[in-house]
Amino acid sequence: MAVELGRAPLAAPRASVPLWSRVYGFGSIYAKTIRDSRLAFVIMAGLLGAILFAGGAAFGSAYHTAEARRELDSLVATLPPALKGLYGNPVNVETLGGSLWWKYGPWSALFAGLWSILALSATLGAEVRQGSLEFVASAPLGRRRIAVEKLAAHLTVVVGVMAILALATWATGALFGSLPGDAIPPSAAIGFAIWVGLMGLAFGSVAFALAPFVGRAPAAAAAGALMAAGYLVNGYRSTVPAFSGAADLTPFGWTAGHLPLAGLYDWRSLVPVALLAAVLLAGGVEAFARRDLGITAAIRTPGLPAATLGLRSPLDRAFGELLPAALAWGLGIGIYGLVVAAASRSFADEMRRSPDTLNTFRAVFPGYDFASAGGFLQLVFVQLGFIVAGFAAATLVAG
Amino acid sequence: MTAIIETQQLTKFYGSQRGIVDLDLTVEQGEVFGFLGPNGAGKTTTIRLLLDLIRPTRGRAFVFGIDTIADPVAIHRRVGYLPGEFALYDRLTGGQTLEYFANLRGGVDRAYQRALIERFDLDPSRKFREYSKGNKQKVGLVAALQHRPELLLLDEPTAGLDPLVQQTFFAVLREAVAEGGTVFLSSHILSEVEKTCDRVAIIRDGRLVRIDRVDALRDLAHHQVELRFAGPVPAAEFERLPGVSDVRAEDHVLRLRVVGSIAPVVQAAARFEILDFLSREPTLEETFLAEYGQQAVAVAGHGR
Repeated sequence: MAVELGRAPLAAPRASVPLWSRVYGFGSIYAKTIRDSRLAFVIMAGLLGAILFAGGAAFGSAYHTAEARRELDSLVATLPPALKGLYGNPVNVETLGGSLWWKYGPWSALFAGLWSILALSATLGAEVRQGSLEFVASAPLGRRRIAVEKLAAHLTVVVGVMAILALATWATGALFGSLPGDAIPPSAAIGFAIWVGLMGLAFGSVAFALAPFVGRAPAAAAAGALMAAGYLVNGYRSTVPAFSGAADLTPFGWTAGHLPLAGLYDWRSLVPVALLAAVLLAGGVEAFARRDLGITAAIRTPGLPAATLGLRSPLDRAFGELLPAALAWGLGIGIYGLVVAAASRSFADEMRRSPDTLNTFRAVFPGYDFASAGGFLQLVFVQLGFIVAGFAAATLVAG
Repeated sequence: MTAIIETQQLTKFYGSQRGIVDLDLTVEQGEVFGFLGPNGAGKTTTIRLLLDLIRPTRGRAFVFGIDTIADPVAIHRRVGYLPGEFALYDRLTGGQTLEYFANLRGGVDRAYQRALIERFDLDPSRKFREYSKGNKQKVGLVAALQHRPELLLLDEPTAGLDPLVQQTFFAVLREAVAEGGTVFLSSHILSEVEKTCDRVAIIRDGRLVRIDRVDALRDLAHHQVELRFAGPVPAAEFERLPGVSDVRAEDHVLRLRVVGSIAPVVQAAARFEILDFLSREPTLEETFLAEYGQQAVAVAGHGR
C-alpha cells in the first residue's frame, strides 16, 4: 500500500518528550534502561528480600530459646575450616542479625555482584553486539552521555533493590527477633544493604571497564572470576596464611570488619570499595567514548576438540553448543562439592555433639541422617540447588 | 556547490587487517552518491568513520565541513543513518522503537513519521521480533528518515525490501534530495546504484578505484557489438581495429567489445555485406564486471 503523501511542512508541530517518559519509558536512554531493568529489579529485590525474610523466620522458629542459641554458637564455632572458608567467619551467630549475616550476607553480595557483572557488561556490550547501538550512537547525544545514562539507570535500580533489602532486613529483625539482641536497628540494615550494593558494583564495574576492550562475555567472565577468587581467598585467609596478601587486595578483605548485622561497623572500609567502583565505572565510560564502537581485542581461549562441535546432526549440534557452558558449570560445582565433601565428616561429628540442632534439622528434613557425612552432603546439595537456581535467574534477567 | 562529505587520505586498519586505505572523495550537496564495492571492500568502514563510530588510523573526514572527530554530535544532529546489519529491540513494537529514536533525536515531526510508516506499509503495533527481514528494514529506514536529515548515510538500504517498497524508498530519496538533502548510499547492487545515483565511487580492497558520474562511467565503458555477415566472417579485419577486443566468431556472427569510439568498427563493417548490426550500451553491472572482474561483484553478504 503506497500512499502518496509529500513531506509535511517543516513548520508542523514537534512533539516534546514528557518528563515522566524521560524517567521511565522511551523518552531517554536512561528511561529505557530503567524500563528494561524492571524484571531484574523485581527478581533481585524479591530474591534478596525473600532470602533474608525466610531465613529470619526459620531462625526465629528454630532457635527461640537461649539454650538453642548457645548450641548453635558452639556448633558454628567448631565448624571445620573448609566450611568457615566457604561461609565466612561466624560472628555473634547467637543473635538473629549475626546468624543472618553469617548465612546470607556474603552470598547476598555474591548475588548482587553477579547481577551487576551481567548487567554492566551487557548494558552497552549487548547493544553493540546486536547492532542497535549503531542507531543510538548516531543520535546527537555523544558517547559519554550514552554510557553515563546507561550507568545511571543501573545505579538507580541498584539503589532501589538495596532500599528494599534494607527494609526487608529491618522488618525481619522486628518480626522474628525473639530474644534480647535480635533487633536489627535501621543503621545495621542500611549498612548491610550499602555493603551488598557496593560489593556488587565493585565487581560489576570491573566488567563495565573491561567490556569496551574485550567484549561482553570475556569481561563478565574476568569480573566473575575475580569476584569468586576474591571471596575464596578472603574466606580461607586464616586457614591458608599464604592467601593473606592477596586477600588484602580484595573488597572482601577491605570490608572484613564491616559486619553490621552482627553489630560490627567499619564505615570507612566502604570508602575504598566505592572509590574503586567509581574509578572503574568512569574508566569504562571513557573507554566507551574513546574506543571504536564494537571493535574489541580478540582473546584466544582454549577450545574444545573439533569433534565436539557436533556437526553431524541437529542433536549433535545442540550438545556441541551447550558443552562449553556445561563444562564450566560442572567445574564450578565440582570445586564446590570438593570443598564441602572435605568438610562433611567433621561437620557430621559436630552435629552428633549438638542434639538440639540435629533434631531441628531432622524436623525440617525428616528421613535424613545428618549425623552422617552422606546426610550432611545431601543437605548441602539442596542448598546448592538454590544457588544454581539463583545464578540461572540472574543470568536470565541479565539477558 | 557545497561539499557535504570530504575525506582526505582516510585510512582505517583494524590491527593488521585492512579497512580502507587513503580514501579521497567529496560528495556535494544535493547528490545521490553511490558507494559501490564487493564484500569486504570497506564500504561500511567508510560510513562508520564518517559518523565517528570508529576512528581513522590516519587521514581526516569532514561532514558539513565539521571534522568527524572534533564534533560528531553536531554531525549526528543533521544525519540519518541506516546500518547495514542491525537488530533492534525484540520486546518493543516497531512504533515504540521509532518513538524511542525520535525522542533521542528530539524535534521529530510526528505527522511526517506517521506518513513514512504509512508509505512503507509498516504495521507499528507488532513487536520487532515478529517482523520479517523486510519489515525490520522498514523500521530502520523510518528511524533514519523521520527527522528529515540533511544527509542520509544508508548502508545497503534495500536489503530485504520487496520491489514495491523499493520504489517507495527511491521516491522518498528523490523527495529528500528535492528538498536539498544529500544521500550517500552504499550498495553492492549495481542496478540499484545505476537507477538511483548521480555519481558513483567504486571501492575495492579498501581503495578507491574509480569515481565518476554514473553516465560517464557507462559512456567510458565498452560497447558490445554483434555483426551478422552474409558471407564468411572476416574476424582478422576487426581484430586490429583500435579499441576492439574479445573478438569471437561463430558461424556468420561476429561478436566484439569496443572501448571508445565505435566509428572504426562501423567503417570496417561497411566494406562487407552485413545482414544485421547490433550495438548495445552496457549496463553498469557489465561495466563493473569488465573493469574489475567477476570476483569483485560477489553479491552475498555486506561490504565491510
